[in-house]
Amino acid sequence: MKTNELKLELQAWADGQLDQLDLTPVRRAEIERLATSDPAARELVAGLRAMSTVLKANPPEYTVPAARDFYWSQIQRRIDAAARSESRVAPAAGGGWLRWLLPVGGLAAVAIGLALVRGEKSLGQPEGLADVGSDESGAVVFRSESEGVTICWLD
Amino acid sequence: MTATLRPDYLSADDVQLVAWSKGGDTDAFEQLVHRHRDKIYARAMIMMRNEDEAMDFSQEAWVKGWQRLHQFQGDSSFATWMTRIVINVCLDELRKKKRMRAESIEEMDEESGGVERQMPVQLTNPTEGLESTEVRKRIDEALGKLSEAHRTVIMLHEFEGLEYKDVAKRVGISIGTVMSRLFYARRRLASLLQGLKRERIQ
Repeated sequence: MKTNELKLELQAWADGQLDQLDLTPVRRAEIERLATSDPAARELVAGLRAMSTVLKANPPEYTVPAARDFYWSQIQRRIDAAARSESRVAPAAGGGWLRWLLPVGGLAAVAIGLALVRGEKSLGQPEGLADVGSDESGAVVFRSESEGVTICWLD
Repeated sequence: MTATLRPDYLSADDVQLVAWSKGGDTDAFEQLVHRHRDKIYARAMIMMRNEDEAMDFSQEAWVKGWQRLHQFQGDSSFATWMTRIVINVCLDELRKKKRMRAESIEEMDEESGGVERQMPVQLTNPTEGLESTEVRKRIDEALGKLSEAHRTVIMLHEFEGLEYKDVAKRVGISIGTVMSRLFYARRRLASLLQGLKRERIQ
Protein backbone atom coordinates (compact mmCIF):
# COMPACT_ATOMS: atom_id res chain seq x y z
CA MET A 1 0.00 0.00 0.00
CA LYS A 2 1.73 3.13 -1.18
CA THR A 3 0.15 6.08 0.55
CA ASN A 4 -1.91 6.86 3.59
CA GLU A 5 -4.31 8.74 1.32
CA LEU A 6 -5.01 5.57 -0.62
CA LYS A 7 -5.62 3.68 2.62
CA LEU A 8 -8.17 6.25 3.68
CA GLU A 9 -9.86 6.08 0.29
CA LEU A 10 -10.02 2.30 0.53
CA GLN A 11 -11.52 2.68 3.97
CA ALA A 12 -14.15 5.00 2.49
CA TRP A 13 -14.86 2.36 -0.15
CA ALA A 14 -15.18 -0.31 2.55
CA ASP A 15 -17.60 1.94 4.45
CA GLY A 16 -19.63 2.77 1.35
CA GLN A 17 -18.68 6.42 1.71
CA LEU A 18 -16.60 6.90 -1.42
CA ASP A 19 -19.27 9.11 -2.97
CA GLN A 20 -18.69 11.66 -0.22
CA LEU A 21 -15.15 12.29 -1.40
CA ASP A 22 -14.29 14.74 -4.11
CA LEU A 23 -12.72 12.29 -6.53
CA THR A 24 -12.42 12.16 -10.28
CA PRO A 25 -14.20 9.27 -12.02
CA VAL A 26 -10.82 7.87 -12.97
CA ARG A 27 -9.60 7.89 -9.37
CA ARG A 28 -12.83 6.38 -8.13
CA ALA A 29 -12.56 3.58 -10.66
CA GLU A 30 -8.95 2.99 -9.65
CA ILE A 31 -9.89 2.63 -5.97
CA GLU A 32 -12.70 0.25 -6.81
CA ARG A 33 -10.37 -1.81 -8.93
CA LEU A 34 -7.73 -1.99 -6.20
CA ALA A 35 -10.26 -2.81 -3.50
CA THR A 36 -11.47 -5.83 -5.38
CA SER A 37 -8.33 -7.09 -7.08
CA ASP A 38 -5.18 -5.93 -5.29
CA PRO A 39 -4.24 -8.45 -2.52
CA ALA A 40 -2.92 -5.83 -0.08
CA ALA A 41 -5.91 -3.58 -0.65
CA ARG A 42 -8.31 -6.47 -0.24
CA GLU A 43 -6.63 -7.46 3.00
CA LEU A 44 -6.92 -3.93 4.30
CA VAL A 45 -10.59 -3.68 3.34
CA ALA A 46 -11.37 -7.06 4.91
CA GLY A 47 -9.64 -6.11 8.15
CA LEU A 48 -11.43 -2.78 8.38
CA ARG A 49 -14.77 -4.42 7.70
CA ALA A 50 -14.11 -7.13 10.29
CA MET A 51 -13.38 -4.51 12.93
CA SER A 52 -16.42 -2.52 11.93
CA THR A 53 -18.66 -5.59 12.13
CA VAL A 54 -17.41 -6.46 15.62
CA LEU A 55 -17.96 -2.91 16.85
CA LYS A 56 -21.42 -2.51 15.34
CA ALA A 57 -22.58 -5.76 16.86
CA ASN A 58 -21.18 -5.05 20.30
CA PRO A 59 -21.66 -1.49 21.48
CA PRO A 60 -20.68 -1.29 25.17
CA GLU A 61 -23.62 -1.49 27.53
CA TYR A 62 -24.06 0.20 30.87
CA THR A 63 -26.80 0.30 33.46
CA VAL A 64 -27.67 3.52 35.25
CA PRO A 65 -26.19 3.13 38.74
CA ALA A 66 -29.26 4.54 40.44
CA ALA A 67 -32.76 3.41 41.29
CA ARG A 68 -35.55 4.35 38.89
CA ASP A 69 -37.25 6.75 41.30
CA PHE A 70 -34.05 8.48 42.31
CA TYR A 71 -32.85 8.95 38.73
CA TRP A 72 -36.21 10.33 37.65
CA SER A 73 -36.59 12.59 40.68
CA GLN A 74 -33.33 14.31 39.78
CA ILE A 75 -34.49 14.83 36.21
CA GLN A 76 -37.85 16.11 37.35
CA ARG A 77 -36.20 18.54 39.75
CA ARG A 78 -34.12 19.94 36.88
CA ILE A 79 -37.16 20.21 34.65
CA ASP A 80 -39.06 22.07 37.37
CA ALA A 81 -36.09 24.34 38.08
CA ALA A 82 -35.76 25.18 34.39
CA ALA A 83 -39.50 25.95 34.19
CA ARG A 84 -39.28 28.23 37.24
CA SER A 85 -36.27 29.96 35.77
CA GLU A 86 -38.16 30.57 32.53
CA SER A 87 -41.17 31.96 34.35
CA ARG A 88 -38.90 34.38 36.21
CA VAL A 89 -37.30 35.51 32.98
CA ALA A 90 -40.63 36.21 31.27
CA PRO A 91 -41.81 39.03 33.60
CA ALA A 92 -38.33 40.46 33.61
CA ALA A 93 -38.57 40.83 29.86
CA GLY A 94 -41.88 42.67 30.27
CA GLY A 95 -40.36 44.75 33.03
CA GLY A 96 -37.63 45.79 30.67
CA TRP A 97 -40.23 47.02 28.22
CA LEU A 98 -42.09 48.85 30.96
CA ARG A 99 -38.88 50.44 32.17
CA TRP A 100 -38.63 52.12 28.79
CA LEU A 101 -42.29 53.04 28.65
CA LEU A 102 -42.26 55.13 31.83
CA PRO A 103 -39.59 57.71 30.93
CA VAL A 104 -40.84 57.93 27.35
CA GLY A 105 -44.36 58.53 28.62
CA GLY A 106 -43.09 61.12 31.07
CA LEU A 107 -41.18 62.97 28.40
CA ALA A 108 -44.23 62.90 26.18
CA ALA A 109 -46.31 64.35 29.03
CA VAL A 110 -43.81 67.13 29.62
CA ALA A 111 -43.76 67.93 25.94
CA ILE A 112 -47.55 68.07 25.84
CA GLY A 113 -47.61 70.23 28.95
CA LEU A 114 -45.16 72.72 27.55
CA ALA A 115 -47.06 72.87 24.32
CA LEU A 116 -50.26 73.61 26.20
CA VAL A 117 -48.55 76.29 28.30
CA ARG A 118 -47.31 78.00 25.21
CA GLY A 119 -50.73 77.77 23.64
CA GLU A 120 -52.52 79.24 26.68
CA LYS A 121 -49.96 81.99 27.11
CA SER A 122 -50.55 83.10 23.60
CA LEU A 123 -54.26 83.32 24.34
CA GLY A 124 -53.67 85.69 27.22
CA GLN A 125 -54.51 83.50 30.22
CA PRO A 126 -54.41 85.30 33.59
CA GLU A 127 -51.24 84.87 35.55
CA GLY A 128 -51.11 82.56 38.58
CA LEU A 129 -50.86 78.90 39.28
CA ALA A 130 -53.21 77.20 36.95
CA ASP A 131 -54.01 73.69 35.83
CA VAL A 132 -53.06 74.08 32.26
CA GLY A 133 -53.48 70.59 30.98
CA SER A 134 -53.46 66.86 31.36
CA ASP A 135 -53.44 63.90 29.05
CA GLU A 136 -54.35 60.23 29.10
CA SER A 137 -51.05 59.25 30.64
CA GLY A 138 -52.16 60.91 33.89
CA ALA A 139 -49.67 63.76 33.67
CA VAL A 140 -50.87 67.15 34.90
CA VAL A 141 -49.04 70.39 34.23
CA PHE A 142 -49.28 73.57 36.34
CA ARG A 143 -47.86 76.89 35.25
CA SER A 144 -47.17 80.00 37.36
CA GLU A 145 -46.37 82.91 35.12
CA SER A 146 -45.54 85.13 38.07
CA GLU A 147 -43.05 82.66 39.50
CA GLY A 148 -41.89 81.63 36.09
CA VAL A 149 -42.35 78.00 37.11
CA THR A 150 -43.91 75.06 35.34
CA ILE A 151 -44.70 71.94 37.36
CA CYS A 152 -45.33 68.63 35.67
CA TRP A 153 -47.01 65.98 37.85
CA LEU A 154 -46.72 62.42 36.71
CA ASP A 155 -49.38 60.18 38.25
CA MET B 1 -68.87 11.09 39.91
CA THR B 2 -66.64 9.29 37.43
CA ALA B 3 -63.07 8.29 38.18
CA THR B 4 -60.43 9.41 35.67
CA LEU B 5 -58.72 6.40 34.12
CA ARG B 6 -54.96 6.46 34.36
CA PRO B 7 -53.34 5.79 30.96
CA ASP B 8 -51.67 2.42 30.59
CA TYR B 9 -48.09 3.64 30.35
CA LEU B 10 -46.55 0.19 30.56
CA SER B 11 -48.22 -1.16 27.45
CA ALA B 12 -48.16 2.09 25.47
CA ASP B 13 -45.56 2.32 22.71
CA ASP B 14 -43.04 5.15 22.46
CA VAL B 15 -45.13 7.04 19.90
CA GLN B 16 -48.09 7.15 22.27
CA LEU B 17 -45.92 8.06 25.25
CA VAL B 18 -44.32 10.88 23.28
CA ALA B 19 -47.77 12.17 22.32
CA TRP B 20 -48.89 12.16 25.95
CA SER B 21 -45.62 13.77 27.01
CA LYS B 22 -46.09 16.55 24.47
CA GLY B 23 -49.36 17.24 26.22
CA GLY B 24 -47.49 17.79 29.47
CA ASP B 25 -47.86 14.30 30.94
CA THR B 26 -44.70 13.85 33.00
CA ASP B 27 -45.71 10.31 33.99
CA ALA B 28 -45.61 9.32 30.32
CA PHE B 29 -42.21 10.96 29.98
CA GLU B 30 -40.98 9.14 33.06
CA GLN B 31 -41.90 5.88 31.35
CA LEU B 32 -39.84 6.90 28.32
CA VAL B 33 -36.92 7.73 30.60
CA HIS B 34 -37.24 4.36 32.29
CA ARG B 35 -37.28 2.52 28.96
CA HIS B 36 -34.27 4.18 27.44
CA ARG B 37 -32.21 5.46 30.33
CA ASP B 38 -29.58 2.72 30.16
CA LYS B 39 -28.85 3.33 26.48
CA ILE B 40 -28.62 7.08 26.97
CA TYR B 41 -26.43 6.64 30.01
CA ALA B 42 -24.22 4.15 28.12
CA ARG B 43 -23.58 6.67 25.35
CA ALA B 44 -22.57 9.25 27.93
CA MET B 45 -20.31 6.72 29.65
CA ILE B 46 -18.60 5.74 26.39
CA MET B 47 -17.86 9.38 25.67
CA MET B 48 -17.02 10.70 29.12
CA ARG B 49 -15.52 7.57 30.79
CA ASN B 50 -16.68 8.92 34.12
CA GLU B 51 -19.70 7.71 36.08
CA ASP B 52 -20.57 11.05 37.70
CA GLU B 53 -20.34 12.94 34.42
CA ALA B 54 -22.31 10.27 32.62
CA MET B 55 -25.07 10.52 35.22
CA ASP B 56 -25.06 14.30 35.06
CA PHE B 57 -25.04 14.59 31.27
CA SER B 58 -27.53 11.82 30.68
CA GLN B 59 -29.95 13.58 33.02
CA GLU B 60 -29.21 16.87 31.30
CA ALA B 61 -30.07 15.18 28.00
CA TRP B 62 -33.44 14.05 29.39
CA VAL B 63 -34.20 17.58 30.54
CA LYS B 64 -33.40 18.91 27.07
CA GLY B 65 -35.48 16.11 25.58
CA TRP B 66 -38.47 17.20 27.63
CA GLN B 67 -37.97 20.85 26.73
CA ARG B 68 -37.61 20.09 23.01
CA LEU B 69 -40.30 17.45 22.67
CA HIS B 70 -42.30 19.73 20.39
CA GLN B 71 -39.38 19.54 17.92
CA PHE B 72 -39.54 15.76 17.73
CA GLN B 73 -41.43 14.92 14.57
CA GLY B 74 -40.91 11.16 14.60
CA ASP B 75 -38.48 11.12 11.66
CA SER B 76 -36.37 8.72 13.71
CA SER B 77 -37.20 6.63 16.73
CA PHE B 78 -37.47 8.44 20.04
CA ALA B 79 -34.43 6.51 21.33
CA THR B 80 -32.33 7.64 18.35
CA TRP B 81 -33.47 11.22 18.85
CA MET B 82 -32.53 11.09 22.52
CA THR B 83 -29.19 9.49 21.70
CA ARG B 84 -28.37 12.43 19.46
CA ILE B 85 -29.21 14.81 22.26
CA VAL B 86 -26.99 13.08 24.81
CA ILE B 87 -24.13 12.94 22.32
CA ASN B 88 -24.50 16.67 21.71
CA VAL B 89 -24.52 17.37 25.43
CA CYS B 90 -21.32 15.36 25.85
CA LEU B 91 -19.68 16.95 22.79
CA ASP B 92 -20.47 20.41 24.14
CA GLU B 93 -18.93 19.46 27.45
CA LEU B 94 -15.83 18.04 25.84
CA ARG B 95 -15.45 21.19 23.79
CA LYS B 96 -15.73 23.26 26.94
CA LYS B 97 -13.00 21.24 28.51
CA LYS B 98 -10.97 21.57 25.34
CA ARG B 99 -10.25 17.90 25.57
CA MET B 100 -10.93 17.37 21.89
CA ARG B 101 -7.82 19.13 20.66
CA ALA B 102 -4.78 17.13 19.68
CA GLU B 103 -2.88 17.18 22.91
CA SER B 104 -1.67 13.67 23.46
CA ILE B 105 1.38 12.07 22.00
CA GLU B 106 -0.96 9.52 20.53
CA GLU B 107 -2.81 12.13 18.50
CA MET B 108 0.32 13.97 17.44
CA ASP B 109 1.61 10.63 16.26
CA GLU B 110 -1.55 10.20 14.22
CA GLU B 111 -1.26 13.63 12.66
CA SER B 112 2.24 12.86 11.48
CA GLY B 113 1.25 9.52 9.99
CA GLY B 114 2.41 7.49 12.96
CA VAL B 115 3.27 3.91 13.54
CA GLU B 116 -0.28 2.68 14.08
CA ARG B 117 -1.00 3.14 10.40
CA GLN B 118 1.80 0.80 9.52
CA MET B 119 0.45 -1.98 11.71
CA PRO B 120 -1.15 -4.88 9.90
CA VAL B 121 -4.92 -5.00 10.08
CA GLN B 122 -6.08 -7.99 12.08
CA LEU B 123 -8.00 -10.24 9.76
CA THR B 124 -9.06 -12.70 12.40
CA ASN B 125 -11.81 -11.68 14.74
CA PRO B 126 -10.02 -10.88 18.01
CA THR B 127 -13.20 -11.43 19.96
CA GLU B 128 -13.99 -14.81 18.48
CA GLY B 129 -15.10 -17.37 21.03
CA LEU B 130 -16.05 -14.81 23.65
CA GLU B 131 -19.52 -14.39 25.08
CA SER B 132 -21.35 -11.27 23.90
CA THR B 133 -21.14 -9.65 27.32
CA GLU B 134 -17.42 -10.30 27.44
CA VAL B 135 -16.92 -8.93 23.93
CA ARG B 136 -18.71 -5.73 24.86
CA LYS B 137 -16.60 -5.41 27.97
CA ARG B 138 -13.39 -5.91 26.00
CA ILE B 139 -14.43 -3.40 23.38
CA ASP B 140 -15.29 -0.91 26.07
CA GLU B 141 -11.89 -1.37 27.69
CA ALA B 142 -10.23 -0.83 24.33
CA LEU B 143 -12.35 2.26 23.65
CA GLY B 144 -11.24 3.61 27.00
CA LYS B 145 -7.67 3.56 25.76
CA LEU B 146 -8.46 5.77 22.78
CA SER B 147 -8.43 9.54 22.96
CA GLU B 148 -11.85 11.19 23.24
CA ALA B 149 -11.50 12.48 19.70
CA HIS B 150 -11.02 8.99 18.28
CA ARG B 151 -13.63 7.42 20.52
CA THR B 152 -16.19 10.02 19.46
CA VAL B 153 -15.67 9.31 15.77
CA ILE B 154 -15.95 5.55 16.35
CA MET B 155 -19.12 6.01 18.31
CA LEU B 156 -20.79 8.29 15.81
CA HIS B 157 -19.88 6.20 12.77
CA GLU B 158 -19.97 2.64 14.11
CA PHE B 159 -22.57 2.77 16.87
CA GLU B 160 -24.81 5.55 15.57
CA GLY B 161 -24.32 4.76 11.89
CA LEU B 162 -23.66 8.34 10.83
CA GLU B 163 -22.09 9.02 7.44
CA TYR B 164 -18.71 10.73 7.25
CA LYS B 165 -20.23 14.10 6.41
CA ASP B 166 -22.60 13.92 9.37
CA VAL B 167 -19.80 12.94 11.75
CA ALA B 168 -17.77 15.87 10.43
CA LYS B 169 -20.67 18.24 10.98
CA ARG B 170 -21.42 17.02 14.49
CA VAL B 171 -17.83 17.15 15.68
CA GLY B 172 -16.84 20.26 13.70
CA ILE B 173 -13.99 18.72 11.72
CA SER B 174 -13.32 18.01 8.05
CA ILE B 175 -14.28 14.77 6.34
CA GLY B 176 -10.56 14.13 5.86
CA THR B 177 -10.02 14.30 9.61
CA VAL B 178 -12.98 11.99 10.19
CA MET B 179 -11.41 9.46 7.84
CA SER B 180 -8.01 9.78 9.43
CA ARG B 181 -9.34 9.43 12.98
CA LEU B 182 -11.55 6.53 12.02
CA PHE B 183 -8.70 4.70 10.37
CA TYR B 184 -6.38 5.25 13.28
CA ALA B 185 -9.02 4.30 15.84
CA ARG B 186 -9.89 1.06 14.06
CA ARG B 187 -6.27 0.06 13.79
CA ARG B 188 -5.69 0.86 17.42
CA LEU B 189 -8.79 -1.04 18.52
CA ALA B 190 -7.78 -4.04 16.43
CA SER B 191 -4.36 -3.94 18.02
CA LEU B 192 -5.77 -3.61 21.55
CA LEU B 193 -8.27 -6.40 21.04
CA GLN B 194 -5.63 -8.62 19.53
CA GLY B 195 -3.56 -8.03 22.64
CA LEU B 196 -6.50 -9.14 24.74
CA LYS B 197 -6.80 -12.26 22.64
CA ARG B 198 -3.14 -13.08 23.19
CA GLU B 199 -3.63 -12.61 26.93
CA ARG B 200 -6.50 -15.07 26.86
CA ILE B 201 -4.51 -17.68 24.99
CA GLN B 202 -1.63 -17.42 27.44
